[in-house]
Amino acid sequence: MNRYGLEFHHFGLAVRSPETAFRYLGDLGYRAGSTCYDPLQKVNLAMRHHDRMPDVEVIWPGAEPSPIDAMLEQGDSLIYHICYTSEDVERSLTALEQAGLEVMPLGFPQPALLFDGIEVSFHRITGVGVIEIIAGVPARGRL
Amino acid sequence: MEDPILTRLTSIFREVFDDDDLVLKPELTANDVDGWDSLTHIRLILSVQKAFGVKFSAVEMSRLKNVGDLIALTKHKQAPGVVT
Repeated sequence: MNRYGLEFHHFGLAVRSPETAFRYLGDLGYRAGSTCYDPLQKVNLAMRHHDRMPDVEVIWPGAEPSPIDAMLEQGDSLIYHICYTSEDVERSLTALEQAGLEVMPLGFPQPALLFDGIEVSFHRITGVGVIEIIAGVPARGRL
Repeated sequence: MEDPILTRLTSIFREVFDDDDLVLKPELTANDVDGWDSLTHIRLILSVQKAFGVKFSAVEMSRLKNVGDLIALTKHKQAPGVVT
């Protein structure tokens, strides 16, 4: 394990609508995982898994205003976050700050519908970008 | 008697969310306030830190679940003898 206690989980790909991304990922050999509308994050979510490539979470807006709207105004798609799991989120955040990184939360931690209600949090690290941290390790087979 | 910290926090919230009628309640979360997204969350936290001359750690911020927690943390940081 690395000094931050973070283990890669997936890339977050924001798109205006998912059809093209689904087709592209499917052609690469990705298979469909869980899909849902998350009313807390106000976005649609769909996991895509691959045996030899990193998992990708496709995220697109629903009917109501969503956190990714402003970002999508700058372009029609973007890998905008890297998601990790952490067995101890507070220890990971402390380690990041102790390493001299500036960490700013992007909201209050919330249960993630896509991950069986496990709590997730988003943070912006200056000079790095947005990371998502899943508290604990969701059962991959159910994603 | 009015709580000066709560009064100032209310003023900050109203400015950040551009809502002069916003009333702070402890149970308030981002889902209850129009326009409370990731960017306004950053503005809110930075505004509170600047207004009160305090610095929240990533862990302290990660423990916040609602406005009541933010009020409590701000008051704790404002308490005499607390180093921020």
